[in-house]
Amino acid sequence: MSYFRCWSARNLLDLHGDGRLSAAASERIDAHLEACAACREAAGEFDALKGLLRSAKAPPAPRGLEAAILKALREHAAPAPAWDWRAALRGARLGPAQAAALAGLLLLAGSHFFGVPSQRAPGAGMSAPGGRR
Amino acid sequence: MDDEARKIVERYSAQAYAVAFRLTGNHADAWDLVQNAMLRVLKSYGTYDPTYKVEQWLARIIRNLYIDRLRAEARRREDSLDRVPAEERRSPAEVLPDPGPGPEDAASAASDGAAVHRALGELPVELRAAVALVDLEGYSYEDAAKALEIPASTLGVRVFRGRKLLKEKLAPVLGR
Repeated sequence: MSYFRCWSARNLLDLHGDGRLSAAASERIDAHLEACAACREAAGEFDALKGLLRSAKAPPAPRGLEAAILKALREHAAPAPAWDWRAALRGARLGPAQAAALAGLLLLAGSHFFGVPSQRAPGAGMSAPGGRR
Repeated sequence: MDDEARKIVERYSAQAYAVAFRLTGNHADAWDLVQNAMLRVLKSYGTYDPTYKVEQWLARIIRNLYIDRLRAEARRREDSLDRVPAEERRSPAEVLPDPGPGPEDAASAASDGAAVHRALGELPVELRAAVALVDLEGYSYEDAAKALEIPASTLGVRVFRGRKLLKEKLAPVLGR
């Protein structure tokens, strides 16, 4: 009887079956399997599982997959159309709050650009550029 | 590029589809994964690292895309307010014309194969990917480890654990 105990042999059956053990370790496992019916049975179960997994054929790629990939590739490779700001503005939909905020921003920008002083509290210090003193 | 792209698609689509089907277990998701993975490969072919085989590269992208998708689905499930009705989540493959007898039909016709794919689908995704590549697709440990971007020793552990679970799940089939 081999000095190999069953529990260590069982843990190596996978590697043994996959041919990933060294020659010396493989020989020891083989010797143990010859002497141990229970481990031989476990090795048989492992072989059966591997056989079952290997026999599970993958389904063939569906018709149309290759054409769909090439079509998607062509679409991705096409240059993006130039941005049409007029169309974007036509399609824009502003809510009341967004419209009010936009109007406020435009007013503020306009007042700075044209030199219109903004309203300030008395004694607030600096006036707007070009404003009255 | 057109000719080159066509050659790559013709040569590797079936193999990529097999890997994607092993992971997802269904036709529609496998189609989406392969299409997206192929687009990534074809668009970045100029930066191809020749130390990878193309099939390894594809398998890696498929696995990464699949994990990204699982994470996104988990996040969506957590946020019940943003949940989209199932009919709106149909993939393009589901709205394409029926390509005839499909792969799912073929798989279910072979009952052992169907049982294997069902059992495989119940494994945690990392164990599933390891077993799918090594035991079902016949990758070497080295190739599978590279495709999954893990050390060969980690792959070995995952294959070992995956097989153990599969052995339990497939006991009725194995015992026949």
